[in-house]
Amino acid sequence: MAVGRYHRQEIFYPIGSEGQKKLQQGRVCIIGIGALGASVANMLAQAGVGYLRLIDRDIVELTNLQRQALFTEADVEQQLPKAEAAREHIAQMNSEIEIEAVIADVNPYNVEKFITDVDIVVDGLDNLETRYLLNEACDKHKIRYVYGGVVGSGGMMMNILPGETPCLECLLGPLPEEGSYDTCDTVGVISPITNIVASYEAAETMKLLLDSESVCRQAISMDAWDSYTEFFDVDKDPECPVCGKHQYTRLEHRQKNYTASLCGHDAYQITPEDDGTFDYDAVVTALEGEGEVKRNRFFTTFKNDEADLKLFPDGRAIINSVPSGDEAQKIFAKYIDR
Amino acid sequence: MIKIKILFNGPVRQLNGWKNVANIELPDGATGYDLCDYFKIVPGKTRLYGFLIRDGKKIKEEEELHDGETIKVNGKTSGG
Repeated sequence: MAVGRYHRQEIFYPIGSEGQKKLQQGRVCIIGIGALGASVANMLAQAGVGYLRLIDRDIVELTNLQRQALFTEADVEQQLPKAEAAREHIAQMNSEIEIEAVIADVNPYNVEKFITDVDIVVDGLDNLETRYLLNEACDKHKIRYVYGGVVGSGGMMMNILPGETPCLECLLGPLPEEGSYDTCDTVGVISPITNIVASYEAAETMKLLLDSESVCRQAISMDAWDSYTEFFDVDKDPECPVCGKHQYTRLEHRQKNYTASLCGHDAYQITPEDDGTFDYDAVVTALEGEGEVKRNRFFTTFKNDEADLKLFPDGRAIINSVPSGDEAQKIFAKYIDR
Repeated sequence: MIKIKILFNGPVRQLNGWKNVANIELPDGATGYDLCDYFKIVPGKTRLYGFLIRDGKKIKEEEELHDGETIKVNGKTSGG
């Protein structure tokens, strides 16, 4: 008798055939499809989680291939967005599940719509600012959030279960000032730690989907180079502005044109408020008379003596080679938001 | 004076000249803030520094330290 795709998982006692059905009904949103997110997506797809929403704002670059599973040199050459490249590769591995690729920057305007129709949100982000925003959104909507982060050879993971466990701000304290903490762009990162943290994230996501008693309620700190793993407790802080007082200042802080520095890229990203009036085709047509324009199915690049930018259909733009957010805003106003 | 053993978890050991272990002495009644001062760490400002762990539990910097304890210094992990 032929055995099915998930046979080895179904004979694993804590899952079984009933658990497998639950996994296939599970809906998971992974935010950030880099080293962590791509590995988590791969493992959850292999496990047969029924619906995966993959969200990322970036394009696959050569420096990603050292640690980011799923991506290939062909993806780099084609300048594929990470979310779409991951969707295409995963679909070849498991055609039985639904995968939605979302090419977007997660910000106060859109974070809630991405997370409110899923069971679990998994963290694959590359910065703390968006993590703190996501922490607020998940607390507000009582969505379970699997936090994971890496830098250098170290990593951390914690399940954040609103109403039950401490939140990200209880663990890490107030958001540090921008530039006051190291990132993978400043001190590097190695592939083994991203795979270790991603593996914990994937396993915890599966356990949460199954309502398993084995769900981890401690934080985990790991280092692949120093060879240690430590489980530790974190107290829920009653004075925590997020899970203690339910104040969502980042979620409510909405600028007209949301500007973010892209760490290590000498670039700024500007996301306009989505008021339904942005006309991508009209903007690209206007750009064609003012410089070199290249358009593919995912974005348009524009270059002249003054500006070097990438424009996406949702109105988001990445302004390259500018010294400040103000300069990026000026270019955005002149060429996009006229 | 109290004697404290400090373990630096992972990349945060940069704050101790890349060594994982330090044995230090602090005045009686010293807190986590005094430990941070010893290593020129300013919580919330110093790159890499995250928080302190004692006996498998995260503690606040204002908590008092005791003779013979081991304190772990943990970093922040911001990447993905």
